[in-house]
Amino acid sequence: MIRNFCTAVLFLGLALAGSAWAADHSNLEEGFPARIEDAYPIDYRALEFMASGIYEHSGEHGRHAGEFEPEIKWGFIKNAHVELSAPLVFPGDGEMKNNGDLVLEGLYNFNVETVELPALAVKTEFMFPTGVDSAGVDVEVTAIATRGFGAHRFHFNGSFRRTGGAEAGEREHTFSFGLGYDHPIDLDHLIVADFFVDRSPLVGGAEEFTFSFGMRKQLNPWSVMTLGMGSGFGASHTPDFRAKLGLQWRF
Amino acid sequence: MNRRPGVFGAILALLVFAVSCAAWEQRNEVFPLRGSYNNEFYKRHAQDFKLTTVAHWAHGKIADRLLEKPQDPSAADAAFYEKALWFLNHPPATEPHQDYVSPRFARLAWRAIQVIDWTHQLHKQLYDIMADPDIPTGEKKRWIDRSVDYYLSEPSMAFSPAPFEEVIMNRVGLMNQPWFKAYRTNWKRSSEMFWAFHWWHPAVYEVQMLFPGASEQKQAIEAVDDLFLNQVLKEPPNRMLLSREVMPRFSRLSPESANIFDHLHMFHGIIYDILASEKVVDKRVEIYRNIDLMLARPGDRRLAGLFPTPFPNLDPLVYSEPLKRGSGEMGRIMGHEHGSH
Repeated sequence: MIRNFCTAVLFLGLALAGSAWAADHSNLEEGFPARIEDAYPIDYRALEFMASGIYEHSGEHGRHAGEFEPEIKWGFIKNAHVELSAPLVFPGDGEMKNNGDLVLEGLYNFNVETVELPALAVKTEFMFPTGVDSAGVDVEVTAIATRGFGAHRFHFNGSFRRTGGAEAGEREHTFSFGLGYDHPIDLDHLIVADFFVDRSPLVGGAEEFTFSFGMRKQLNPWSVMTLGMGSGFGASHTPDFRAKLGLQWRF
Repeated sequence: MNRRPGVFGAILALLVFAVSCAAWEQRNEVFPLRGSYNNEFYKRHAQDFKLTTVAHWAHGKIADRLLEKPQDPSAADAAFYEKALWFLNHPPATEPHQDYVSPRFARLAWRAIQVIDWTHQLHKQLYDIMADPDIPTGEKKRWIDRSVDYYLSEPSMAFSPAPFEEVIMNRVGLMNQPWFKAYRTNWKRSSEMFWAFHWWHPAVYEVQMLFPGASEQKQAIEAVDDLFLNQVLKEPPNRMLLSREVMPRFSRLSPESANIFDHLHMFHGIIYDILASEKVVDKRVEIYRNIDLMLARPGDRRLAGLFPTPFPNLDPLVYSEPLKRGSGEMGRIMGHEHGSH
């Protein structure tokens, strides 16, 4: 069923790619290619199909893993969007837990950045247990701020997460903080970088520190390509290499 | 047991936050109108699309440059002009939003970015409709009017469809403003470059009217680009040309959009004048005041066609003397024998 959903979403996106209009490579989206997100939603009435592929290597376990994530986003009112996604994980060690969970999120932007104020937004995410061996609804609330100085833009993401159906040894509440930066290279290309700290989801586990950097390229008026890589340290499962390729079509 | 005060405190804080946010300025961006014609211009006339991107880059970038208050404006003007020429020879593939090229100005006056981007999207819609060979000539107006309707459906960011005389002269009172001509005084080369750009955009519409077939339109637009780069840019008009002068046929087909584009072109000049003027202390307030004066009002559409077309049979592939010199429509409206704004 999940495979059918993903195929349908992918087909829809590709079919409409030619009629799309006005994607925006300066509007940072989580995971395209960095994890940091800016405080702005997509335009009112816009639809956006996004797909990304991730390769991950963990030196400690010698593990190779991959992930494919299709997403669809809709600007249903002014200054807000909702998004539906279904990450599909291909773990090297055969651990398939939570694979195929459906994620529904909404972002609301309170204000445009001015000389005095940063742009502020709040994002709420629900992860439903539709995947493998999944239980409980996870809820995450993220505060987002974007502040620019000239063409340099800085971003803050702070999240609080409640894990539904946490098992023994798992924390019910976790949090993360991230700082990001972006800057135009030219009119078609933007570089982006970030650094995140995550509280371990395991009781007694070490914090995870990750960083990434990459580029967003406007391919044509309706699509954006993203390419990035990153690494991390801290918790044992932190990947020591991660690469990400993404595409966005707005229509 | 002790959580209740905390919960109430959080709710109260959220309420206070929500109420204070209501007074904040929001981004309010709206997606362009969907149609089978979307992106036809980009697909068929890629080179002109890229050059248009440079015109819009220049219009955005100069605002940030003016905010930097360079000590020698004439030198900054010359450097900016050279940069724009370089861009015309190395155009980008796509066009970003105005806040991407003028981030400082976007923080100062977001509504200005909003009305400019919103009018640019109307401009792209109409270029696409005129470029789409699947829309028969007799059907173009219906699709254009649909786009104008959509544009005007956002009254907080849509320029008036009434003519220049009513909006710029009567409502804005351009010539009585303390900032009038402040930009042009020290930024002559870039001013004239913008006047050349304001010849170019309407000239493309006019050849789209005259050459509806796909291959002949492509050739005609390439000829307009050659004319722009080799003649108009080197010998720019001595004033801001109005749409009715350069695209008389398209102005009759869609008088609303002809006026809206005139207002956009003049609005760029108004912004630059305000930013360059030392007489304006709160630039944001003054820019917003002028936006409010220029927005569409009820009944404006009935006034749309009330303008003359001085050169109804103009050949857009010839850069004729009346477009280069003389007072033109701007001079007539301002009451100058030899107008130059």
